Amino acid sequence: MSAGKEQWGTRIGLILAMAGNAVGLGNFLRFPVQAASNGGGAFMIPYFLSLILLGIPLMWIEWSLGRYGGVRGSGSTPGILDAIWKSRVAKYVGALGIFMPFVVMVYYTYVESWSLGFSLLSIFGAFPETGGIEEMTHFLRAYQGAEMHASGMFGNVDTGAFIFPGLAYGFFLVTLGANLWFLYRGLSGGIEKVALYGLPALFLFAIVLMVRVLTLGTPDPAIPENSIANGLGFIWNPDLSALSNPQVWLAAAGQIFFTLSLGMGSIHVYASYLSDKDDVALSGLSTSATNETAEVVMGGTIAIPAAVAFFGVAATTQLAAGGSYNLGFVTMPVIFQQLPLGDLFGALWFFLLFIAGITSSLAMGQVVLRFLADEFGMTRSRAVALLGAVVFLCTQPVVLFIEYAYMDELDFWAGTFGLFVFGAVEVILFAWVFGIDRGWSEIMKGADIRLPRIYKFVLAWITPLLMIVIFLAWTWLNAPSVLMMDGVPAENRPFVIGARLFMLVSLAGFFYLIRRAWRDKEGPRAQERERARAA
Amino acid sequence: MTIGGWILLITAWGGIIGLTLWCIIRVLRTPWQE
Repeated sequence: MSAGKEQWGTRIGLILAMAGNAVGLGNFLRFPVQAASNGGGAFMIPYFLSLILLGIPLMWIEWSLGRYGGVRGSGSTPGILDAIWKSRVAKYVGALGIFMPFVVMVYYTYVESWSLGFSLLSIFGAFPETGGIEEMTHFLRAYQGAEMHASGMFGNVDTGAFIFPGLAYGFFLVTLGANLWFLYRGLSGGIEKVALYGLPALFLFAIVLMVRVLTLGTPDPAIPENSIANGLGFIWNPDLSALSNPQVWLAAAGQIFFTLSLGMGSIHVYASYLSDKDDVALSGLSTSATNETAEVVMGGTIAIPAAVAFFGVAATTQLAAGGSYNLGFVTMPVIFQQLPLGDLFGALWFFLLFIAGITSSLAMGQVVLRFLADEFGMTRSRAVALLGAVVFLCTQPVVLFIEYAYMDELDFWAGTFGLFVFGAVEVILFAWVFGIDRGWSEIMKGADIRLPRIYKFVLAWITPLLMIVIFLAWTWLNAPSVLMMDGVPAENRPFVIGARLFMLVSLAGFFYLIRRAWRDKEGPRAQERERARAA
Repeated sequence: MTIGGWILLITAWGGIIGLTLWCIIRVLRTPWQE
């Protein structure tokens, strides 16, 4: 069967798959860091305002655009944008909605494989026993192949040019294989099944870890200020002066945008399997609410509060500044090492991250499969084989050049900047080109809940204007320095440029495929076929 | 943790968990494609 002619088995399966798409590593790692470093509890005020005015409306827009395109035979964004915007460039703008999931899948699958690897390493008690932060940092770097490890347990090979990471590579192959297998099993037989079992398991693991963290109390009675209460306070105590800082508002809006997987193209594809009469209003709201539970309730209660309880506020601030991956893969294992049954809790933590990861990477893969099915009539098995081969090849530089910021460059342009670009474009097209009257009718078609009428105004003006302001402000603050490679060490520059070339070639490749597909659809041969069919 | 922190935490958790449960119940009561 082709990836374009399937359907979801159950409604709850679709919503769990959508929530799985949205719930990712960022819910458990990025959110608490953002909250703690942007005013704590005060951060929640712009955060929830952004959820109401930006996140949920955009979620409705993407669900309804997906259903609109799917009913017309196009589940991926080139076809969807071509359907709502009568312009020759629409389909090329829509290319972003396949390019980004593809590029992100290339590095995300590798990061996902670290979680699987660390989950098993934790079960087998392989983490350094005397583990401090520094030792665990060496352990992670050795696992990634960024440095050799005296134990030789990682199967690393020093080629002189780079260190080949043996164990990490093995887990990468298993993870990529699992992704391809579930994609091959199809929408209801693979993706939906993973979501139906995976999401409840993820929530269960998160609740177990939350209870463990919340009952930590004061791990070292000699240092009473290092307590779980102060850990929660680090995230939730409101510093109201932060509200006058525009950066805090920008960070909150950005977090809402990332956490809901908006501007990516994957929500459209999942929604494209709906029929014209299926609800999107309640389903979109349910997806957002489920993601927020994973983020605000669970994500905010595990990593940062535990870090404060063990290392104190000052050290946690430093650890958080080291980035989300450091918090997840270095700080957390060190904390678990100090708990009874720590290996088990560590395994739960990393397997939770693995589930969060795979439910997101499946959505990215499905985007490419749907495009190949819709525009080239490719069967699922051929499309999966093609996707697998291309992702496998393109991940090689990510694995080999991990310490040269190759992956960071992909993450910035395709996994961050691109989302803002596409999010801004789609909301403008929906509200101002497709038209808010048609757009509102689309959202309300088959709706199981009545949305407040004020949301028509929000969708028409507030969400687009907010999105434009955020896009411009974020770009102004972040893009120029990254573009000019400020602060990038000289030895990393060739790899950063290599990552940019890879992205340009990928984007050009998708442009070419779209051009070819539309030439076949609209060209003389297609017209001949139409005439023959009519005759 | 300050009183303000607790108020924010309880309000946010209550709101989010309440909304999620309400959504799940509504979805389970109105299934389609099943």
